[in-house]
Amino acid sequence: MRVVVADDSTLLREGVVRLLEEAGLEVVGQAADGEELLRKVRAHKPDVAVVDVRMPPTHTDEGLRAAREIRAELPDVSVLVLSQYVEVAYARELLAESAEGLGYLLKDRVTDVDAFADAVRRVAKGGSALDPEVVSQMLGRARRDDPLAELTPREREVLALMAEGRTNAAIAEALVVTDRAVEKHVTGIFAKLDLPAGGEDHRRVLAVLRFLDQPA
Amino acid sequence: MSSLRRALIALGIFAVLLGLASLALILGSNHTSPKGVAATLILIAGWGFVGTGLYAWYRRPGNRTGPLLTAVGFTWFFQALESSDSPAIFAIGAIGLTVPFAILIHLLVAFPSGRLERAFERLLVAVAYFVTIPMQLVWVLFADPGREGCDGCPSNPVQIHGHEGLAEAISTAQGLIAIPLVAASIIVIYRRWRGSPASERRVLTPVLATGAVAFGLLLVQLVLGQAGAGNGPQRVTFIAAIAAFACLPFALLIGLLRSRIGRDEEVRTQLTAENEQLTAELRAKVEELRASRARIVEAGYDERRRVERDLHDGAQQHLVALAMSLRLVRGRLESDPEAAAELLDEAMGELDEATRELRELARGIHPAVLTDRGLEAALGGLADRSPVPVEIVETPDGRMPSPVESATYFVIAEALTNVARYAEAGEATVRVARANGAVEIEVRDDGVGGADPAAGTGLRGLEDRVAALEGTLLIVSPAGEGTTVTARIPCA
Repeated sequence: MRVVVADDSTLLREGVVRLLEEAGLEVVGQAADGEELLRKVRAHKPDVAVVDVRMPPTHTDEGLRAAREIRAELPDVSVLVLSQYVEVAYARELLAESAEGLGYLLKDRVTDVDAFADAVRRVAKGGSALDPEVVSQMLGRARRDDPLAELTPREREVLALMAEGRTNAAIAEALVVTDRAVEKHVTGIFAKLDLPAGGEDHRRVLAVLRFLDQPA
Repeated sequence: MSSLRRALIALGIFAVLLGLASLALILGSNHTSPKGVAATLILIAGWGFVGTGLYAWYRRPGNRTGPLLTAVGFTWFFQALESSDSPAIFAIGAIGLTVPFAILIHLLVAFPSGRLERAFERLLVAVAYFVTIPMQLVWVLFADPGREGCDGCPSNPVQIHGHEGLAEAISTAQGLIAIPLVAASIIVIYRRWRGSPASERRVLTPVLATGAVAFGLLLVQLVLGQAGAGNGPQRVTFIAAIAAFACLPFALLIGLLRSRIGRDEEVRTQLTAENEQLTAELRAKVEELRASRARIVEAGYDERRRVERDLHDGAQQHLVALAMSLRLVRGRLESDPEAAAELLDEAMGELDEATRELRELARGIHPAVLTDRGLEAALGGLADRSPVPVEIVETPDGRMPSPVESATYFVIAEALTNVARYAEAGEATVRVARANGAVEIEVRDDGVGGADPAAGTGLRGLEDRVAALEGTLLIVSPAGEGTTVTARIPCA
């Protein structure tokens, strides 16, 4: 699995590269800003680009803009955006049309090497990865007539993991239950929230996020 | 030179010539006495009326006072014709003699606007003209004006003889109409004076007082005439009335002069008062600015202390704990690998905690999303993290200047923090709209109300922050009716 890493901080970039290589991924290129990232991606056509949001020259959202350009120009290249902060607004923007092959994680997550490598692989294969903090912010949003109040605590856990982009198998593993049990919870959640059932994982993510992102 | 001005100058020259001719007539007269008094009164009053009339006409062409004054002046010279020894000229004088008194009534009743506003005033003036022009004309046709009390007056050449009784009747009728007419004029003048504000009285008093005195004397003379008093007293009061009328133009000038001086004084008083008020306002503003500047500086230090404390209590503690864990790991790497692994897990937990706290701290100092994505996105984040449901009803399109955007964000953040802490609210709504060159912010909750704006230092700080942008902040919080925080910040 081939990866391009973009981050203007050499220290962090080298760190991420080392972690990814230790996890068995092949880092084919490194970039320090948005333009270099685009050049490297065009040249190497990697499976996934791991991109920092803030890069020169404006240090605001170059990573997000580069991600959009990559998605438009090279749909086969997945993008995982890393950020010092996570904001629902950015997640909404990034996943506006599709969650396929997209990830948005807090930069701190790289320290949990296994989970991070897992997320990179998932996104590279066309899945999604949304930071638990974004998900918990959406789930925790105070609502009037909260439809989530009908969910059992276990169902809420399953919903959160779905929103993060985990597959049923991954959810089962994380919650230490059987795949069958997860499927049952998923069906229950979709029925209670009146969501269209089934579909591929990244479509499921989008449906869940759209539901959670409704205004309070 | 305007045509009006040319015409007025011509009238002035004509009046001068008329005066000189009058003087010649009086001085050459066989029957006028005393000549000095008659000449003085006629010339002073005639020229005085014409002079002030022309000046008033020139300055205020739209006001009839000028033409009326001028007309009084010119008709005044009819009196001089009575000094003539020529019967024809004497007769013309007798016909025109009373006209200026009608014009005087017109002038004073219409003063100072020059307009007859009420029907009663118009009636008064119409009667005055009727008594002095047609009635006088008819009287002259049947009477011999020089017949009584005048030695050497020429006889009336147009007199239709044999109707002395009719002439007597007309004269009596004139007198009987003139008495209530003059009395009514005095009343109108008095009411005009009573009804005018103090500032106008400065101009009106000299004119109206002189006019009232003159009319009063005229009234006495008329009453004496009707009562059949002797010629002597009648003549004295008549001359006194004429003298009073002669003063009228000068009374008008005095009035004008007083009004100008008065206005200067008034303007000066007003300017002084305004100046004092402005100075007081300025002083208050300076004091306010000094206080708010001090509070802003103090708030800056408070903020630094808070950041320092947060760093010390939060991230730094976790990092110290992490360092200790790592040292312990190092010591146990070989002797107790299992314990070392456990310690490493602990260390990573500390690290996670430290980074999380740093992140929160940074967000509190300035949310990056506000800079990157603007108010709507940043407010969305605030609403998401609020434990009370928050509805963002309205946000402006496009971006605002960064200081305005920041102030707006922090006003709403602080208001929502207060809602969560104190309001016991079921929900809150946030509205931000641009209108009339400003951004208007409203945060409303349905909680318990009763918030004391003076008590919350957070909101006080916000007030300064908003005031620094020339804005205003208002907190309305009646007990039991929720709290509404509104702010208005200028934003072109």
